[in-house]
Amino acid sequence: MQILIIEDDRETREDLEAAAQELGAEATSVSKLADALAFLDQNSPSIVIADRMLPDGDGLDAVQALRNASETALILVVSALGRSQNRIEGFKGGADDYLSKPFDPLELRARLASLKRRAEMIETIDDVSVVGDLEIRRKARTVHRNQDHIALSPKEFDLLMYLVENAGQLVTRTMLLEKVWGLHFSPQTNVVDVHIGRLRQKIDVPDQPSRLLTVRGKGYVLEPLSKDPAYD
Amino acid sequence: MVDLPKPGKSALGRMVLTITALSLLLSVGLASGIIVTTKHSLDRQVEETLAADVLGFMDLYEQRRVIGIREGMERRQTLFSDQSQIFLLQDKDGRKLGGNIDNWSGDTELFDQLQDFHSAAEGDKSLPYRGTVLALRGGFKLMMARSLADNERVIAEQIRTSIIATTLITTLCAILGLFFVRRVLRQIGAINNVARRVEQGFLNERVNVPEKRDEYFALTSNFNRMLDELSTHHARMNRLSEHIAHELKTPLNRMKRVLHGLSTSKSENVDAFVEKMEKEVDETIDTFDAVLEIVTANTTVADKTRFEPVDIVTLIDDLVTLYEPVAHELGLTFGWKPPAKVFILGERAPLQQMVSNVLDNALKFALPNSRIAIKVQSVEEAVVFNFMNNSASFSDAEREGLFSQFERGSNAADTPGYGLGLPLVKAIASRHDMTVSIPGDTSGFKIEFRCARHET
Repeated sequence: MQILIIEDDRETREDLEAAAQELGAEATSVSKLADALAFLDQNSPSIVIADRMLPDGDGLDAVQALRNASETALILVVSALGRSQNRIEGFKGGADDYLSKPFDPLELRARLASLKRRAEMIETIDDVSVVGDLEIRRKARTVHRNQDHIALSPKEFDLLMYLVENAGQLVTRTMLLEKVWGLHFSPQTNVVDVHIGRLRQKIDVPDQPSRLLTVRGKGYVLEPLSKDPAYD
Repeated sequence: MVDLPKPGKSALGRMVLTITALSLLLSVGLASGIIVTTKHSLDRQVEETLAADVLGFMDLYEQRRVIGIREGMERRQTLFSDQSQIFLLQDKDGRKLGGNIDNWSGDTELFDQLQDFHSAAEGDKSLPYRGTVLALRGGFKLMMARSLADNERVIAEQIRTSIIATTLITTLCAILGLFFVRRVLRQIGAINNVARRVEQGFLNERVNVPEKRDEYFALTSNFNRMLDELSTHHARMNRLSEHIAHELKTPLNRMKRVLHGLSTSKSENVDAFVEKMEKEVDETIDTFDAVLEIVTANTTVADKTRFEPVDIVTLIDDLVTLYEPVAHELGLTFGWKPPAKVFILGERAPLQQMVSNVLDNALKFALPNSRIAIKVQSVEEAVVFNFMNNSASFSDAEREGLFSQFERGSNAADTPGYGLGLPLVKAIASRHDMTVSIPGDTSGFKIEFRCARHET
């Protein structure tokens, strides 16, 4: 997998390159929009990580130019412009994901992993997802454990589906608010934590460890990454 | 700062000069028209009188030939001794047979046509006449004319009067115009002086003007109101700078302490320090973002081309669904029955944040076992929606400060937050031409929004 990084700040560029390489991708870095467009003319990276404010490309025009240059690449915008309005502009301009600076390195890796999964996704005929003993049917929007139906509210189902689609990966509260509730800001109250708590109550098996783990200060992971001591 | 020009060089002065010149031209034109019309009318009268004279004499000639004309002339001489009409009868040799003059000063060979001439001088007087010459049988000539002296006197009088009137009017226009220009420039100068003083930093300067229902009062009132807004904004920005300095430097200071603790600690619990530091950084970023949102909302003009119809009922409903589990954990309930959809024009994301901030605050300050009531209703062409809780309460002074940045209620000391939630609510409401108020006449706490309804 090839990842194109467009970032004019050296240290940030190095961070992005490290994250891309950890994913097992080949990272190519440029610091100008013109160089990025020239690269896209000859190559087809799976993911493009782009700073919105570049020396030769300012704001949304840069994102739109990248989108026009590559219809297939998934674009992650990484930008100091982090207000909700900026994020929405980014999505409307063609970005597939948006990460504000300064960013948590774990969140960067989580979002990249999510994009990588999307890039590698193969269409399946079967709409059933199985996580442990949970059977989830997308079209019917039902969840069963051993033939027993687990009643979830529509948002609880959406929440579970997003966690399932990113199973094994960290998903941050910001990502959940964006993808499940369509909110581009962080409420002051711990709403996500409470919803996760309710979901846990419904899908966890009593007296057994939860499959939905909290990464303190970061977010959640569905199913533990057994070798990573960072997770509970 | 640009100084006001002198009256002669001002746009107003030029305008007044132009109007004065135009009024002069108009007066002259009007007077000329009247004089020409009067002259024409008077000349016609003379010609009609002359025609009557001709008919009279011709009647006499038809009855009694030359003798009749002579007798007629003698009678006229008796009746009219002035020279207002002159008449002369001559034989074929040019000898006078009758009349009140001896010679004809006009053209004696110009028959049956009107001719203007001056009579032979009598003393120093030479009078203008209009007359005609008729050829009679046997070579006789009948000449008669009427004086134009009275006409010319009338016209001369009219011209004199017109000149005097035009001069008076023009002078009056000029004087009044100058007075008007000076008055207006004085009024504009007052506004200019205040603007100059404000530019120099005297932000409290205002234009003093007595209340009158005129355009100057309207302009100065609006100008003063603009200065009030500028002053308030300036004060707000000053306070905001101080608050930002405090609110951002305080966590930075805490971070320094954490780092210091990390460097001096012999404990292996590095993770705890790092987690603390990251929390401080996250909260600092959140504060900074919130301040940026408020400053942007307050200082930039809303781009209304980005507005779209937003169903406020569904928006609130989605957020109530989001917050309901939290409310349940806090022992609170939402009193919310979504009505039919109601649309307003706006941007969905900021409106979501606005309602979210209100709900955040409601959950923070409501006491357990109380109810947060939410209502949306259409009132004529407006939408009114409010959030109310009977358990939370604020004093009047606190209520006034709730929309001020970094101000917090007295019961908020132990709850997390920086006092930016409600200021951001107000900023977003403002950008949507929405009024937001915290009525003081309700028990408990109520925040109410009102804006125009969008018909879909």
